[in-house]
Amino acid sequence: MLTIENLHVRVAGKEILKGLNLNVKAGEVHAIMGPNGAGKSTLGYVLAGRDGYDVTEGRILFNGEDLTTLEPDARAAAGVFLAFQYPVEIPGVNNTYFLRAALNAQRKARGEPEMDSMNFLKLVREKLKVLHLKDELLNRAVNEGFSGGEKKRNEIFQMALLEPKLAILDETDSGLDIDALKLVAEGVNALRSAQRSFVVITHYQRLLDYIVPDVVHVLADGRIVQSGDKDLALKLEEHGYTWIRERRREEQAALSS
Amino acid sequence: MSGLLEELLAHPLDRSEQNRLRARERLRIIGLPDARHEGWRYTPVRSLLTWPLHAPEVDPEVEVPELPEDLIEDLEALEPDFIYVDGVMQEEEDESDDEEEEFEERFDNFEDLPDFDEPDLDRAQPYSRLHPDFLEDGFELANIAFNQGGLVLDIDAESGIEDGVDPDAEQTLVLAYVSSSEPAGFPHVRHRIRVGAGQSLTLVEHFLHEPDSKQALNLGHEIELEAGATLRWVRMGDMGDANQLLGFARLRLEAGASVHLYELTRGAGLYRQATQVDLSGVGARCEATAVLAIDGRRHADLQWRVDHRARDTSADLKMRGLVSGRGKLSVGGSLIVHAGADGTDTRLSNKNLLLSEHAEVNTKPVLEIDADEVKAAHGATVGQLDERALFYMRSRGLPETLARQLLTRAFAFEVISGVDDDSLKALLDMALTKMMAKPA
Repeated sequence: MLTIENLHVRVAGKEILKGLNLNVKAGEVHAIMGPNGAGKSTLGYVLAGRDGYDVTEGRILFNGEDLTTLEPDARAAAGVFLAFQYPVEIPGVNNTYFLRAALNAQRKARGEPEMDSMNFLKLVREKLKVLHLKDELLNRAVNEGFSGGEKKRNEIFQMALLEPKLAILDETDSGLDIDALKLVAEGVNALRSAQRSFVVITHYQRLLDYIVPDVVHVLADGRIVQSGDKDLALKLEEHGYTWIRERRREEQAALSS
Repeated sequence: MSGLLEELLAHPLDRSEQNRLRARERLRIIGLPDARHEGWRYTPVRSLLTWPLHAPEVDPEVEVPELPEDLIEDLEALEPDFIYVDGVMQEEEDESDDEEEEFEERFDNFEDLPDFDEPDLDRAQPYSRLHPDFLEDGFELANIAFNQGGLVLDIDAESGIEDGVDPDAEQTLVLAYVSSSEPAGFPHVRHRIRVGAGQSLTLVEHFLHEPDSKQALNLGHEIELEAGATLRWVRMGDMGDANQLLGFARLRLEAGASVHLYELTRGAGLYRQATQVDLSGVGARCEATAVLAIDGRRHADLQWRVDHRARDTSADLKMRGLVSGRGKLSVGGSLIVHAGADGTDTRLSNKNLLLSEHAEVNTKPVLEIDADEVKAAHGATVGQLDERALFYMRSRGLPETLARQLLTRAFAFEVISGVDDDSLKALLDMALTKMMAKPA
């Protein structure tokens, strides 16, 4: 589904990703962990197509298509979804209107018929229940006046509604209490399927207790430095990222000798 | 420039009216403003002086310009009480009896207005009570000295208590101004409105134009609100790429009176509206909201000033500018709290969006406080659409043009979101929707 090869990305003149490789198959859940400043959020933004995140080398293939040539909205229509670490408040734009406009814009781009408001509301109600979100949030402006937890749950709610093929969750767990964390994980698990893949970016192992990953990667200094199964996350939790750094130093020493 | 002014001053006065004479003498001394005048810093006076500063001598009965069908339809839809074409009030020519009756009914409320041709100027002279400090603009003096009339409206308790008319009923006056494609020079129109104690008036002004019209209008308003009176004033429209508007509005509010002003416009080739509100009575209140969408090569200049002259007066001014193409917008907002106006609560917020590379905004908020226990806030911003919000929306699948439209629309509509009167809200919604429908 997603193949990233030797990806180099510059942001504001500074190289952040330095030869990242990643291969996510359909139906898999990959967790990406790593210390602050490793380039985790950059990876999310680059996949979603944010301006100012320039790919200088390497490529990103999504179902065989070069993702970097597509505009952000075209990526969304192709099935890429980024749950933001900091969801943006958009005063004056009604949440329901926004969601329906987004869904129908995607459907239109894919050559599918638009969804009428009756069916849309039915779908909304169905998805709201899973995340235990209040109806009234729908009548407010996008993310405006939402609590931190509500914003994060709203991201997952949007994901449930838009049904992407690849969902990237950028620190969706940060700032959540344990109850909200469980709700978010439930929302994600409900969407897991053989056709849908997830890239879960997180600092902490805790989220992975609830969303069990197939593969765990450690991203440090712009590269994947270690990959393993879910036990790798536990080891990281136990030893911290310095453990990885030391192991890398040992490896490099071994290589150079 | 001096040639045009001399020509204007050479015009005979048809009435020996003191205000006109005073204004004329003052104009002779100070002349017309130029770029050295702070209030005219960003508006090119020269472009206003491309035609004579007065209207050509025409008999309106004979020379009613023919308007195109679609413009007439637009006009009729607005149901105006009075129509000004090129600064000249049109006589209503109703063909059917029904329409005539309806027309008369609508005017029942204004039955005891002074005669329009011979207004009772002693009765409605708010001007004479305005502060002389402000009569320092040559174009406004020209309007006072040489105006060819305007509405004289006096709403008092008696006019409200006609047979079967609820004395508390809201009175609404709808005016429409049309710029036709006939050359009309620079007509000067001046309205005088007095809202009596405890009365309320809704004044709606629409600005329309023929596509190929090219002319100017110098439009003055003198408005006085007596104690406890309320005015809701909505000005809206699009005056066209080649027309010019010079507007001067003076409002004076007595104790407990309030004005709610909404100015929603796409401006004109050159649009300059100066509005000054004197809060002269205890507890008087001014709320004003403007949304200006300026595109092409248009130029708009909005100058607002509120003078707090009495205790516990309050003002809340919100201006929003959306500028695209090579449009230019200049905004001046002054909050002046005079000595003795203790307990004043005054605020101004001006936010502007630059929607293209060559758009330009100049904004100057001013706050002067000479009183105690004053709450005051003012701020101005000039920026672009929030890049984060744009990306967020696009990442959900919205095409860029739609995302931009939604954000621009949200920016404009935010200032009217707090309006709780349903019919007013509907009117403002309609005006903004129409404004934003054209590519900004």
